[in-house]
Amino acid sequence: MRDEHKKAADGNIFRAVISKTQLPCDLLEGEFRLEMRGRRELFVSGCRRILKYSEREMVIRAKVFDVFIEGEGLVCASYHYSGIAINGLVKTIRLEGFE
Amino acid sequence: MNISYSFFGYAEVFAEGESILDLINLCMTNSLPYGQTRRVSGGVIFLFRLAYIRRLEALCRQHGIDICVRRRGGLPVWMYARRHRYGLMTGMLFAAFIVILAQKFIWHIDVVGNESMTTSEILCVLEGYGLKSGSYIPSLNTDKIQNRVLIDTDKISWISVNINGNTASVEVREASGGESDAGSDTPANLVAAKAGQIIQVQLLGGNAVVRAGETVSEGQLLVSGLFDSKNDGFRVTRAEGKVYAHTSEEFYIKIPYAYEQKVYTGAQYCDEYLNFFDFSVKISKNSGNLYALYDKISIVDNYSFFDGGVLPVSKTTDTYLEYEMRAATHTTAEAEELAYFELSQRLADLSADATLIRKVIMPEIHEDFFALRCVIVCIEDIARTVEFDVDMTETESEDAHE
Repeated sequence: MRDEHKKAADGNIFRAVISKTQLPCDLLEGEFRLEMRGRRELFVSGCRRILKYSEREMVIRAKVFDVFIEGEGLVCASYHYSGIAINGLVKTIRLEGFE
Repeated sequence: MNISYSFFGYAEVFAEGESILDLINLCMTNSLPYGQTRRVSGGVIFLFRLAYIRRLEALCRQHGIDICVRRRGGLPVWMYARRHRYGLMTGMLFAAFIVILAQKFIWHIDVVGNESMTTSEILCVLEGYGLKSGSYIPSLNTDKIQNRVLIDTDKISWISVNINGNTASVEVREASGGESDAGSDTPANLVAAKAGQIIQVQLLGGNAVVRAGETVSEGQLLVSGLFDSKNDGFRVTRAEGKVYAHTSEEFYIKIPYAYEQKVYTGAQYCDEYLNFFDFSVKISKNSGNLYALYDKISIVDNYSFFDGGVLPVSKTTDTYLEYEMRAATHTTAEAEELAYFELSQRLADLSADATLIRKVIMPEIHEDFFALRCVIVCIEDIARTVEFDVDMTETESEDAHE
């Protein structure tokens, strides 16, 4: 509980610094980023690991939250140093956890 | 398939069930990229670069992840399967060298504009300044080469060197013959190049000290570059002009009856070399020791593309023809013919300014040789320019002449 509060406090400080300096968040290495092209291509970077992998559902753990991706024919098409490319028909994207 | 996978090699890795997720997380943790993943019945196939496979297999063994490398492919795999086909490998390496590295070297030098100078003569001059077939292009400074050739070579009055791709285009303009000292300010006298009787003095500069009708000897002063102005002292100038005189010259041509004749025995052999830039490789069998006496004929064949572009590859064929020297004897008629031929050569070497007035030929038949004695009388320009230095130190003036 103490760690989660600390993480929340760090996140607030981070947002304050970003808004003051007007720097884009994704400049900082390791920050979670999700880019979607249409409904069939997703590009995810800054994630730590994949918790669940199936054709219908994928769960990706970012720094302090989890990303739930639901759809059909989901597959990790490729991985490069900057992130994972996910192909398939995406129906739902849900974020759960601390911000 | 991405062309980089085909070029650098790839491996298809199959995983199923729990291993799929474990493999994905393993790759993320250890920065092992993969691509073109596809689902197949029972599992997923990942495409990895061949360079990562060994590390991937070791990590999978370490973490207990069950994978199967189904197929390897790409250029490295293809070449490894044909590693015993040495000709194919050599040809591919040679083609890669030609395409990548040979662009940095001069393949051919094209010379235009030369008339009296031969192309090989000009190429020899350029080679002295670093420009030849096989020269490294980035190291060539064409401006410097042009300037050095003009400074060091009197025969060339203008030169242009341009490098287009692998070909160096050299355009030259030769220096015109004639008075090389035209426009020179160096003080000079005109002296007699040979003895003769003066017919005419055509004076363009200087002080003539001979006149028509006088007989002069070789080296005698004809036109002086020194003026005594009486009032202002001596003044120097460059003597110029032509001094025509009657001259006489004698030729004595001797042809011995006995001589050694070169006779080819008929024996010959060839050596062949394949040249690539400056490197030569012998492609013919060794034929043992050379003949004691032989003539060597070298022929170089350059290979080119269909459109005429010359390749830096050529073949040299050296043909050795054996001969021996045999004692032979001229007949009197043959010796006479040879003597007259040599006489005609000597007469052709006379100066272009010379006009032949009279020619007296006296043949002589001796026991061992045939001789021709020829006396010619010509009218020619006997003036020869001799430059001299002037000491500018002031001295006390003397009284003038009488």
